[in-house]
Amino acid sequence: MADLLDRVHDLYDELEKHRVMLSFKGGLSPELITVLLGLIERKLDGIEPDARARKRVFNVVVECLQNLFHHNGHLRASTEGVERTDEPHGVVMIARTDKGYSVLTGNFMRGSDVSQLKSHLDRINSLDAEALREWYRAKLSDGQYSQVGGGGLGMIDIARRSGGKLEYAFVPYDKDNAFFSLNVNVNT
Amino acid sequence: MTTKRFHLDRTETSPQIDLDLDNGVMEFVGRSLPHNSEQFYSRVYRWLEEYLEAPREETTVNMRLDYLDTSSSKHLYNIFQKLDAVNERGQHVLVNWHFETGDEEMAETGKDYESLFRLDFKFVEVQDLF
Repeated sequence: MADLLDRVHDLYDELEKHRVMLSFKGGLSPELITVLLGLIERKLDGIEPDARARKRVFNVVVECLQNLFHHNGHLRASTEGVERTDEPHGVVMIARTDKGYSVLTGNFMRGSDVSQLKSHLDRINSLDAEALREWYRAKLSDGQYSQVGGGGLGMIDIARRSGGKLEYAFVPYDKDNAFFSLNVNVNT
Repeated sequence: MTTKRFHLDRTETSPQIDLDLDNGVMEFVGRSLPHNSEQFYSRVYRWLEEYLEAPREETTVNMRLDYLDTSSSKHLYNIFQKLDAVNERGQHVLVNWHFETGDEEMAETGKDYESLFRLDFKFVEVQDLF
């Protein structure tokens, strides 16, 4: 009991120390995403005076949550490695930083998909703002739709709004699966 | 004669859309991040196709969007593409792209579309979009 109560205090300290505005871990649904977006929008209204900055952060959160929902292995950690889940599953955390905001997301994915996503992220990180704009426009007009509709625009859009490099990590979890984490810094 | 128009209400995740077939005016107001953008925009495509069977000499599109996710942006591309074809046939299409004062990102989104078509885009900076 005392142990549990201590943990609540530790959790509070931890969230406070990292200036966390919102964090969620678990199953995701379209309805829940709408609720999370409403919460973060209200919080931003309260703390960020610059309307443009508010909007850039919101944009990044929208695309990150949509990625988390659509590009998701439907897996969660369990005592036996990973187990299948009905809903997409993941973690999201939005925190203040000295320079602005940080949008962190994480989810399990198939290990066999890692190299494709990694090369996409590396290509984005290698481009400057002008080249990202050109690529975005080319993708917008290529007539291609991924099964989720965005046609590969999401991550490029995130990079354009962030103005910085995408920070990511892939941690192999078991022989078939990896954990993907992404940090997007939005400097204001 | 009753005027023929289509209307969709604005929601938390989708814009109000009006299409006045008799006057050739189409309007988008709000934000667009519907969970299923394919399903949402399929209705708009049907309306637009009906209008494009007999478009007016002058079509006006008023965009008053404050936010557009990437999945919706593909659908807006398709809508402009259909309108571009009408414009190419000589029936003028004017797009009034409204954006909030200082919102350069939303203006840039409009410029992305302007660069991809031969449509007449007018950029209108306003205090309040809606």
